[in-house]
Amino acid sequence: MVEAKVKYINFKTKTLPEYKMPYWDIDSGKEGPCFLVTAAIHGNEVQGSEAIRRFCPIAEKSLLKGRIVLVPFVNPLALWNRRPHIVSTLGEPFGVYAGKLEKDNLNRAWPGDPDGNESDQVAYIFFNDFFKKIAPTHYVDLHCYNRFIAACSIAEKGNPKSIEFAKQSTFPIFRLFTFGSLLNTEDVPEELKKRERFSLMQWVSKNGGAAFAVEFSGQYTLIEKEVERGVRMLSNSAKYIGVFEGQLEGMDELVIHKEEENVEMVAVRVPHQGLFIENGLSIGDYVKKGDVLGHLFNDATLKTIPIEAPISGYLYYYGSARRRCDVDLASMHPFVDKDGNIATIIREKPSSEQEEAEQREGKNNG
Amino acid sequence: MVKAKVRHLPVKIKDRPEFNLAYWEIDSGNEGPCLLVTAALHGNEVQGSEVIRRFCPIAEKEIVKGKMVLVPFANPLAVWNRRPHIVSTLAEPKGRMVERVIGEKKMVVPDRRDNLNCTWPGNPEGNESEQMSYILFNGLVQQATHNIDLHCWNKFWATSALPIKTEESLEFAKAGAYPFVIPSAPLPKDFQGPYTLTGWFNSHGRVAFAVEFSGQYILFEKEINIGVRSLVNCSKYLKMFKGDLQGLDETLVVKDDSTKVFKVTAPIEGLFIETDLKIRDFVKQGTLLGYLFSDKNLETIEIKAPADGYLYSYGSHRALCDVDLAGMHPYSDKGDTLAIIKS
Repeated sequence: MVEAKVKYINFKTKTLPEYKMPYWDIDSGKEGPCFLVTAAIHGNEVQGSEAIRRFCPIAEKSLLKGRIVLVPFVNPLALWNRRPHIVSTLGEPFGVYAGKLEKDNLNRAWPGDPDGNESDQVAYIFFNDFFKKIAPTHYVDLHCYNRFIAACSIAEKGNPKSIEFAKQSTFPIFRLFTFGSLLNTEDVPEELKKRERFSLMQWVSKNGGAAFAVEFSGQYTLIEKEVERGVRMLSNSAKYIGVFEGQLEGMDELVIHKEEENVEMVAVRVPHQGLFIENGLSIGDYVKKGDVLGHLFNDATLKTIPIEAPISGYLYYYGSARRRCDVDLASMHPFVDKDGNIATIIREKPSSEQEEAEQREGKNNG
Repeated sequence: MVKAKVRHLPVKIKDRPEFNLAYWEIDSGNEGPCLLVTAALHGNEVQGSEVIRRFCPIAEKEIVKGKMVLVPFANPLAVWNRRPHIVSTLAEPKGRMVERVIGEKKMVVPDRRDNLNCTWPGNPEGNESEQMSYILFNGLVQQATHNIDLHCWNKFWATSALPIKTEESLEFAKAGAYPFVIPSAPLPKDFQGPYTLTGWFNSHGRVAFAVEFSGQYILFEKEINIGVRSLVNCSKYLKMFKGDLQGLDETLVVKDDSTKVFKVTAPIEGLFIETDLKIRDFVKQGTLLGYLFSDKNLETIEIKAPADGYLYSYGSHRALCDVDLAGMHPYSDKGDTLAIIKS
């Protein structure tokens, strides 16, 4: 048993009120990896905070070597604002863009800038006064997507160390991102190009560490299933790097590698506008071709039509939602426009025999 | 069996595209009440729309007298906007901000006239909402003897019927067998309007109540089932359907002077982690309601029920939680409401 010590990072910036950020430091006193976990870089994404809270006593009991450092609220100013960024408002939830760069996003600010905006300053202190000192060998960053998309883990393409580390997370979807410079977006003003900007996970990966991010399903909320998934993932991560003993759990569960060539995704779009009434399905459910995904209630004619699954596969996305549904309630409204997407089904491409069998089954089902 | 006819009410509002508002009319051909059921007066409140859709085939089979007018999308422009009002925006969800003197203070507040349910009987020369209510009033409302107006409030509050405290409306609302019934005082006799829709009915010798389902921008199966049963019950109460009312023993609290209300607030700031309780659950004094995880020192404290009663409200939320995601964030400030228990 290693007691988790609550420690604090002092934040004193040029323009923000002073505050302290607590974290748990669980140090076995023995040599070994340093495993850092952060959550709530975005203030509306707090499922990871609860996963960390539940993981902490497990880490106290199970840590054999090395050190685990847990930061459940890495961006308190955004948390207190209850929005993605420190400066987000109801009308400007993503802050102010510089060209296409979301410059107020803390996860576009690493390693920070003492003379930059609010997020740049916070990143600078966290990075220099904390991150560099603990020098993590392994890092997991906990985020949340909107509730319409399945939970996923994300690693950097072409970085085998991080990819192998991420694979034990057993989140339903596994994604690989190619992280180019965040400054390679359009119309970014020259003054912002004076320094590089990374996500923290990207920075660790680029500098020889093993790192991945996860996206739980659901923001502004805590969902028991997601939190449990997170706690298991953190235990698996600790086992994988050898600071816990034991077998990895859930490795037999289906994980779809979204970017692989043998994976196909089919978006289900509606033929006219109306209220989309879901059919009791959940993200991650397996549906067969022809299964009713829901009904569309036309407000102009009052007619109702069923919306069926065009292929068999897993629900990667489900429900009526639109762009910005992570910051705007109107974008989660069940009223859907013509051609609006109400589901995306993902699957490994079937062999020609499987496809024929599926077609036969479809015909037999009428 | 009486076939529901789809009818259309032409809507012409200045500077807006013309459209036809669709509704169902089910006329038994026999004398009796005219029951108007409306939903989605506010564009973010659509659970009643689905309730009406499911109720319609039941009404076709069961109606024996009177006439039903079922309007699942009473304010299409707001539904298409996916926000409460026709003119709501992300930054001004409750309508256009205007300066008003309230008491002795000058304040900038949303313009009530943008709220369709504060504009009855409407005004043909008024703003978008006032014109819309004028069209609905003259096309659909005036013929009705009874009205059930289906709304939704935020997901942290329990489904409730909201009648005006007159004997007829209160009894009509009780027939709905909603978990909570919350009557409000009748309007003063000299009140000239504008009214809410049910306010207009009650002030003009007719009978009406409003319903607030739990949850906006969403459809919950449990809520929809409550709503369908309620409409069946109310139709039976009016003798438009035959049969006995169901679930009357399921109403938990009819709020009156004897109702005890216990508010549970956050003693510190932190992330509120709910247990597996649900709104409407009965809790005993001392029942664990959840935990508060402090972001200041990482300590966790337990939040317990101060008294026996039903959970009327549950979860960390605050003002504007019906239009702003930040209002429903589980991070609570000290003093934020975490639960309300009624007994």
